Amino acid sequence: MSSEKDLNDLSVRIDDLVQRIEFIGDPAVRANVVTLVQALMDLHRRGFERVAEILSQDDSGRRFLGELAGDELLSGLLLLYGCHPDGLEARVKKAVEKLREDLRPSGNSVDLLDVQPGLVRLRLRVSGGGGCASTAASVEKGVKDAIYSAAPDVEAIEIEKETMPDNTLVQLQVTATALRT
Amino acid sequence: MAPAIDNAKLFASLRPFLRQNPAPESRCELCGAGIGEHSHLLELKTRKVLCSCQACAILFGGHAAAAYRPIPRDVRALTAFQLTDPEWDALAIPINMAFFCMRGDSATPAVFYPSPAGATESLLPLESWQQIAAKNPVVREMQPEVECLLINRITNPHEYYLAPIDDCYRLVGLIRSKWRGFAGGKEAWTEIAAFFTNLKKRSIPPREKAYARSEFSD
Repeated sequence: MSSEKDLNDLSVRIDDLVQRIEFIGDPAVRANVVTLVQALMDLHRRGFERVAEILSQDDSGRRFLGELAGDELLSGLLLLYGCHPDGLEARVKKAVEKLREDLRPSGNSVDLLDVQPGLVRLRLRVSGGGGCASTAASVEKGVKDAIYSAAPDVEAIEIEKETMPDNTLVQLQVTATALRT
Repeated sequence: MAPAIDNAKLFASLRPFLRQNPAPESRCELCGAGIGEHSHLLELKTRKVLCSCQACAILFGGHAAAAYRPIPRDVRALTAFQLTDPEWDALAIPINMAFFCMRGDSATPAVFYPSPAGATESLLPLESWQQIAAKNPVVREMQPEVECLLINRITNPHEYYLAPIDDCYRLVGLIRSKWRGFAGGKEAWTEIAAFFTNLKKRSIPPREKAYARSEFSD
């Protein structure tokens, strides 16, 4: 079983290495690196496409593929290689469902307002009794991370924030950084 | 609630590698850039012909001490070339086809002729070369290493060219792969004829400089 920390370190390390390609001095080496990564990615894309193709041939296969897509690591890989069985809307909805469950114990809640390819809009209700501003901010970050994880192909996330009790309604609009595909 | 793997980060880092167009046919052997129509460099140490993009051709081939020499694209038909039968026989080349190439600091060129075994080197007596050069001053324009005097006395009339070395290698390769038996076979000769037809089509007349005869100096 991969440890969670290993996987996270891996994604950070890959990102770092990709950024560093730009600074390789020797153009022949730089080109070689880019070409090699492209070739490896292409190879794995074909592999994943093949898996998805085989599984999509019957109902039990499709169910199985759906289960695989429920795993966070596999979901990300399927998305990366363009063979995730769920479209954007379905993935965002599933992510919001899971968020609702995760947020319930702390009295916070989240609603999906709208899903478009360019923009996902959510309303986040933060329970005023429990937390301070920084708690609210970290909840918001958690929501954004979860949506981006399920839908890295979305361009922007808008969160309308409400603080609940005391009949005080504080509405803030936050536009998340666009992640361009 | 924190994700185990940062899918957003992976997607952002790696997705661009999937968006590339399919690799073009050729790649520059020096930098890996995709190239369409392209030029070649001769790697002097190994005598290998390398495919090269414009930028590398300029960067690596552009100076005197370069390890690579740009191979010219022009073929020049030497329509006024003079070489008598006795002069040719004196060179003792067994096939009626050869190319001469100036190498390094040598005063006489290396002579290669295609054979089923590849390019076979022949010795050229100094006086023979000096005689040829005296009658055909255009050969002094031959760029060292990358350009050859290509002699084809198989056809009638005979043909003489200043040809890029990669074309000459191509002729050698053609003969090596197609030659059958002692006389070569139909396929080989068809290909050889096609090679020279193509060469003639691409060729431009030489820029003959008048040497001894003229009052102009180089």
